[in-house]
Amino acid sequence: MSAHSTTVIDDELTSEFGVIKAESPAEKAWQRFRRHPLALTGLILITIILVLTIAAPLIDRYPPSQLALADKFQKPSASHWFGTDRVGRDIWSRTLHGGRVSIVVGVSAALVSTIIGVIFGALAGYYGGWVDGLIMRFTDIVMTFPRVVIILTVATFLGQNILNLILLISLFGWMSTARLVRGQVLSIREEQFVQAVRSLGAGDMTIIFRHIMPNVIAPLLAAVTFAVNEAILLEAGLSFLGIGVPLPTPSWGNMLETARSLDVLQFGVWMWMPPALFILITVLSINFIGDGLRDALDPRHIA
Amino acid sequence: MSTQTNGSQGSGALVEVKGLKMHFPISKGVIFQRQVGAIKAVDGVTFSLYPGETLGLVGESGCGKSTTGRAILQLYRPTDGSVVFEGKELTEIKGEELRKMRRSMQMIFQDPYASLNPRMTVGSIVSEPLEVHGIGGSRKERQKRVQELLKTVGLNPYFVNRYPHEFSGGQRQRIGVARALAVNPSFIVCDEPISALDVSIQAQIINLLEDLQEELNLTYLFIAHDLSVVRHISDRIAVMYLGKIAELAERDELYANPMHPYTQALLSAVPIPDPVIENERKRIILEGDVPSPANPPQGCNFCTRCPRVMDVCREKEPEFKDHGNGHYVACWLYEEGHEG
Repeated sequence: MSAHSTTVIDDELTSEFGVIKAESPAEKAWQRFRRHPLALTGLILITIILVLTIAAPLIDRYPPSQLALADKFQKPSASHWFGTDRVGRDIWSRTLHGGRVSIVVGVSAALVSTIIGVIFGALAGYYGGWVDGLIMRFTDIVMTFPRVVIILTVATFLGQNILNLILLISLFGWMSTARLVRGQVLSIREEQFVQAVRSLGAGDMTIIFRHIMPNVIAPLLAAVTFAVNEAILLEAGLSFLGIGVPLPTPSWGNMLETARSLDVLQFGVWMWMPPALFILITVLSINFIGDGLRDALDPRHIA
Repeated sequence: MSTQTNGSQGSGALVEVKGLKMHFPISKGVIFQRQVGAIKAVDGVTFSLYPGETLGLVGESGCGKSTTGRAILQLYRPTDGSVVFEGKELTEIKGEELRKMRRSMQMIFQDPYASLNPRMTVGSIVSEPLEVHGIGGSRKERQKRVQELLKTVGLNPYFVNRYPHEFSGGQRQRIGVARALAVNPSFIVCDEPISALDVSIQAQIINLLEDLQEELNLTYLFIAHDLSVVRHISDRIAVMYLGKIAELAERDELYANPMHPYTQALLSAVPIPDPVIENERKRIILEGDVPSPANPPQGCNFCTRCPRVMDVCREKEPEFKDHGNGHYVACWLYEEGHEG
């Protein structure tokens, strides 16, 4: 190098104040999340529910679909903690196993719909122009569909099983994710570092997946938790209507269905209360976690 | 620094820009969008860059300097005109071919905070161009190259695992320079590389850019609004106003003999660090505002503010031409039969 002094900035200078460990963005987010009491409560509750449902085969006391007509319609007791239903199946066991089904349906549907939403949203936001117009108008149209009615109709054609249920819920649940991702991509696309990468000669896929998406993760993560909720509730609703998870497989939704008969609603509270409570706790917890995540990951919320 | 000054459109040019236009459409309508007008950010710009030289591009905010730089690099696809770089017409190539050309033409950005991805380490930022173009060999060799680059721009090579937010503005701009140098380009567009920096740091970056030019025989298009900086670094200077080049000349010639009234006004605004002369200095104060680039005035685009405006200026656009020794001016004052 020539006469000009291009100063070498020495590491010693910065370490003079001792080793300052820089927190990664994820660590900072966790710090903020931890200080959110509701979110933490939600995390603990959902962990308990997950452990219970995952361990269901170990802690159930009867097979979930085992009929025992002699023991039907029994109140909670030492042998049947949550009582039995009208055909003598153990409610405790069915609640745990039903949770597995409900949560699997909820999580998978949320994941599939998120993937669809991310792809559509990223394409629309990144390419803009007619691609954007086409995708977003299509999104608007799908949004106008009365979801339950369509799923009801299609499910009758396709047949009633868990896989179809997941597919149907996700096919009609990706729109808000697509909109969210589109908006984010639209703004990040114009950031200078994205332009810089383009001027380096990077291709579209490198730009989208290596540079834009990591910056969309934060709001997306919060959106996914809400999508899980929505899917769990939709599954419960559909199963309650009798077009969700087919019997005898238990799910929280189809366990609630028994409450459609008046005498069960009035005189068999133990039969519908456990799944109802589990749905309530799960959905609330996930909501709290989502709120906490949104606050923790949003840089504007740093107080 | 080389002193190639011939202004002819010779074949020796590295970059030849002819009649470059960049119009951004203004559209209306929700579903059926129709164009109702255009922002004429760059409206017919012609100049050449010779190997090893620095062309300074000055002008006030919004006159289209940065857009010109980006349109040359095809970050915006020009509406019209031609850009020939290393013998290739850039406006006609696209996709993979254009991507490969980007190896030889790079850009240094204005804002050293916004131009580095906050989620990537310095090492991966600087090695990205190598990865993108599939050069630099193995991971280990690339790592070595990155460390060399950091050393070249005056940074500690052990900084590779740090994040951009751990650096100062000047250090970040050095990272930006290292990234641009990674693929051994021949042409670099410096888009106001120092205007976001502290004055004491500005000189460091300018010196770094000059050293690198000498060492690596780089050609710069140096975009700035600071006249003294441009004077310091440029071989030739182009003055832009409202999407057009008003005047282009060799540096000393431009400062000694500014021809265009706009250039004269600009230069009169530069303070002189000598109180005696400074007191004598007469400023030419321009009146009015810059017209909207969506609706530029008819005739010469400076006619609304020019202190020496004539009738012809409001009717016909002056031609941008050589008035001797590569001193280009677009002004009716110097056209025969129109002298004021």
